[in-house]
Amino acid sequence: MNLSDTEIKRYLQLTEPTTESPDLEAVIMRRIEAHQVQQQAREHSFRIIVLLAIISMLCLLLLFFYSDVLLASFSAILSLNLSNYTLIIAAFMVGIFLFISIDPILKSLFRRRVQHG
Amino acid sequence: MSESEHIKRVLAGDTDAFRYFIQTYQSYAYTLALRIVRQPEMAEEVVQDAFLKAFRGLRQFNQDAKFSTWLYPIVTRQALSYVRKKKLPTTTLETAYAVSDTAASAAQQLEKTEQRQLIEEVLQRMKPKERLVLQLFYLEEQSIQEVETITGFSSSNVKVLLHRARKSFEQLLPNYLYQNLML
Repeated sequence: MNLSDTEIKRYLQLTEPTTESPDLEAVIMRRIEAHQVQQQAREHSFRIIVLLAIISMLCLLLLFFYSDVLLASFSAILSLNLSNYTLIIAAFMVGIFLFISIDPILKSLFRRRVQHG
Repeated sequence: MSESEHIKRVLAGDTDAFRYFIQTYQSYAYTLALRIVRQPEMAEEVVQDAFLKAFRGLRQFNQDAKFSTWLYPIVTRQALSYVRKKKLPTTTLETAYAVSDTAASAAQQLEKTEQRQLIEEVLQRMKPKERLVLQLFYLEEQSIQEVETITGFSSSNVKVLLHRARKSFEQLLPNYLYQNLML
């Protein structure tokens, strides 16, 4: 059977749906928002993991190179030798400085992922 | 506000600006999905997933092009993958002939609705890609180039699919329907 273009069109017209397409805007927007929340949660946990990894690496390096000093400062805490507190406070300050400087970098690195998966 | 400005707003973090694209393109995206999956509920799912994918990949979109050239191939791919995954009914030519022969006995009394159902069956039995190309070309009167843009298929692929679609449509169309349908 050979059909002309018009015949094929007429046949196909018979099956054209008469119902209008549903409004999916609200559902799609809800799904996009849910997706973003999920991505944000993922980004948060990833940032925490990276920060913990960096801090652990620094701790290991400190232990490796300055084990004597660290042992001395720990024993200083125990014996309440105040002169060694300076070292501990300095270490805390360096830790806080690292956190403050690395976190925004990680944040901006993952911002693109958060918005667009 | 132009499409590229809306895209810039979305990329800058204004998710709400994406509503513009949903409002503008959801209707045709749904029609396109329905042409492939043939089930309204599934077409809705396809459209939702396609828009979500488009949103997630918006950064890769070439902003000089129209958004529809980015979205419609996503809808097509999504719908085809749904058909594959959910194994929607498509039968071979042999099975189709068997069905049409049985139905041929009652051929004389065909009503318009029955004719519609039969054509629907014929389309259901065609391969999804062929069905889509056939409908876009004949029903929507899109050119080969437009079909390429909508589906994301290559030009040669569209031509081959169209040729095959036409052939299988003619083969699957029951003879009695061909004779009785008032054209």
